Amino acid sequence: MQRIDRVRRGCPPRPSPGSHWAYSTATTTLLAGIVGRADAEDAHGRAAFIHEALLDPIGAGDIVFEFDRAGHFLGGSHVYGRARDFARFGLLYLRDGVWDGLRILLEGWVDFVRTPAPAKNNGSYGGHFWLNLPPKKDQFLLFPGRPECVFEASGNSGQFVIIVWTHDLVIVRLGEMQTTNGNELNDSLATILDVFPERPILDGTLP
Amino acid sequence: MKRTHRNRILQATGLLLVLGLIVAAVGDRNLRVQANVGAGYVAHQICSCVHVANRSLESCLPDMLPVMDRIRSELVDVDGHHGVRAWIPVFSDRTAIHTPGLGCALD
Repeated sequence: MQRIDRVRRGCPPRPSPGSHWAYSTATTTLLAGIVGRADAEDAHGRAAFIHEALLDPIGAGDIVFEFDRAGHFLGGSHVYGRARDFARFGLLYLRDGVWDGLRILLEGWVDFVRTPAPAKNNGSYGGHFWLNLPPKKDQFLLFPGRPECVFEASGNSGQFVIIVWTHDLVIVRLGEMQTTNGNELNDSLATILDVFPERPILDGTLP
Repeated sequence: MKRTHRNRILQATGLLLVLGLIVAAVGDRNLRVQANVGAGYVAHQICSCVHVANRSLESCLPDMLPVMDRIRSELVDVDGHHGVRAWIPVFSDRTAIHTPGLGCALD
């Protein structure tokens, strides 16, 4: 991508905020752009900020976030890491934003992302995380019959970080699934969830 | 002689028709935009696959969507930077360049 800001200018949001839900990677990219402008002047500075504020403290420093040629943080896609790196990201959310006693995310942030965004046509999408809550039209229930507290970061073509508070569990699934039926993949992931017993929720202390 | 002459006329007409179709296709803005998006997507994805994920070009190709089979790709070096070039002959030619720590971006 040469200039992601050209995409931003070409897609003005039409409905008033909080009134309508529509899935859009460009929205995530818009927010990433705001984060990118907040603390640095170029791509190297923005990458350093992401590492210092998020990745290095949780031991996921090998994750690479990509930028466009003009130095804009893409954010909505193109994040590369190993399964263990993404598991650490999930564990941070499982521990309510606290890592080994150190608060990384704002208090209340995890509750915010796992609360449905306010729109009449949204039931199962929170703050850029999908929720296992009753869906509205054009949405779907992630894991039928499983706890409502399950929420997941969903990537391109079948890549997931699934967070299950009741089971003190993070499931990471990476890899392309272009030839796989999405429903079958979800059923398989739900089966993995069933293997683990429920456990009490811990309070920010790493096991 | 008469048959040969007719054959030549038919061949010339066929050639002109094919040339006309190629010119029309190349001149079609939508086709060029789609070709650019496709070649850009392949160049960027494979560049990240090879230079960020440290996989081989051969192992990355099956990750592309089946409709992108016709887009060719190769590893390139541009001014000392590693990258990947992807192209559809006549229609589009895109290159993504890798910068350590920042991943790949289309040039």
